[in-house]
Amino acid sequence: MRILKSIRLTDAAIFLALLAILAGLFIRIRHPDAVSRHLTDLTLRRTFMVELAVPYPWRRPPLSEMPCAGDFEEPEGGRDRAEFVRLALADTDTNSPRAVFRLTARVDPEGAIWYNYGRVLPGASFMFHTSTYAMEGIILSVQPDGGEP
Amino acid sequence: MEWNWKNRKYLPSLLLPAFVFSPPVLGPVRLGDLLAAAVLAWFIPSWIRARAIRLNAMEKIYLTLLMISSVAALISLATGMNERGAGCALMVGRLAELAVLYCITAHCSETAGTLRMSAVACIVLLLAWSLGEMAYIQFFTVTEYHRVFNSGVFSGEANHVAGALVILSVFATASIGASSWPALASFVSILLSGSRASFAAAAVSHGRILIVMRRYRELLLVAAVGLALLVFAPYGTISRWKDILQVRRDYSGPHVDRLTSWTIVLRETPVLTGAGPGSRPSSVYESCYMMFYAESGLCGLAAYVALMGAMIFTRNEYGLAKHVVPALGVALAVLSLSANALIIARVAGAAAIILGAVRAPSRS
Repeated sequence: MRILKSIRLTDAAIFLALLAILAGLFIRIRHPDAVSRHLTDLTLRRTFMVELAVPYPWRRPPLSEMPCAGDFEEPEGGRDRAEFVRLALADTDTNSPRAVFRLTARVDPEGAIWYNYGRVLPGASFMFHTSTYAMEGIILSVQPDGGEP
Repeated sequence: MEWNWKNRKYLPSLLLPAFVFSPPVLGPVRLGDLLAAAVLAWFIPSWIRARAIRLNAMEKIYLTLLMISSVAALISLATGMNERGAGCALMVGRLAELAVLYCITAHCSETAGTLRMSAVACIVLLLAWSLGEMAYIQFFTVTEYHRVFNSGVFSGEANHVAGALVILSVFATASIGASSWPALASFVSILLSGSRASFAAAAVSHGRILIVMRRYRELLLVAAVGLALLVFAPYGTISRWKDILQVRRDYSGPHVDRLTSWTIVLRETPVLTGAGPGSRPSSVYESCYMMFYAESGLCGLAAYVALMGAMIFTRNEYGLAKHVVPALGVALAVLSLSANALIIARVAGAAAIILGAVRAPSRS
């Protein structure tokens, strides 16, 4: 009892906190951080290939450069990302050019895909901005990354 | 080596801007964290010798909260409920760091005057930053809606900087004999940052300060300026206010909308012990109450509510602490409704430094 009495609240709190920090670091050494299988990963992000019909004028202001594969935007929050992959110009005047983007977007528990405040699904509109140009179009198809749209 | 640096009284004034302004420099670690760690190494021998400190209610409750979080961490790691080891270490480490900051500041401060000057300087710099950034956006870019403090060294942290402004301005306004112009300056910066929780916390906490201190004319002025700012706010700002819970599905894209995530979190959390500190990314919670329940269970939530209560209804304090501690309690309690206030370095670090500084003159 004498030992217990001499342990102050401050000492106990510091000891337990150090123990918890060391236990956390030990677990981190054994495997990378992951949301446990007991819990739903509410910030789950996956990569998708998205094909877009971009009506003329397919390139919007500021128009200072032509699109180049690898151009990307990271909207507010820094977790979503859209990367320009390629553009195929239309063979006739009535067709729209087709653009392909690689999208890192959130998947909610119901399986819906969300990018920068908007749903990603065929028929929805999609906007892509860089400091040198912008593109805007209608989503034609959404495929998991790895399969070409 | 003993802690006897003669200019140590200026240390809190240096730590405060280090926490408010510093971007992460080493992973999630900021300049303030590095500075605190360096001082801690020097401070430990004095701490070990200081056996006769009498803890007040707020301090006892905070240490209990730290213990509950630590035990929840150990249980969750052992049972496999928590597989985010680094997240867990960072979360408990942040709570422990706040205690350390508080102790160091309480040990170093002689009066809170220098720290108040440092807080006012931070408010002025942030006002200049926000006005400058907004002017640049208006004149040189074409943007429908823009949040200040969201780029450069503040990348993606507009809410954090706005939360820090609430803490700084509450401290400046609650000081006896101070005017309310720091509050007005903060209102402008917070509104431009688009942080709804911070604007609400600033309004409630400043209202309470001015009523308790019977500064009714200033209360009218602050209320009029706050209302005018809201009424004449740009369209984008008003739209954000209308969706304070982020429940509109088309608004929840890069984030997790609060009602959905809270429903899932409530369903999955072990009621007594929680899922463990850091078991999920903190962006899932966006509320300190929800975070402590989800991570440390009912025990953690009860301790956090008790901590807010102990600050708001603090007794037997005199001087600065009499007004500053309850005012900071109100600010943190409101911020915690829709922000993870206690683990945001810019907010909680600043609060711990100020609370330590106002505790200092009353230490035995």
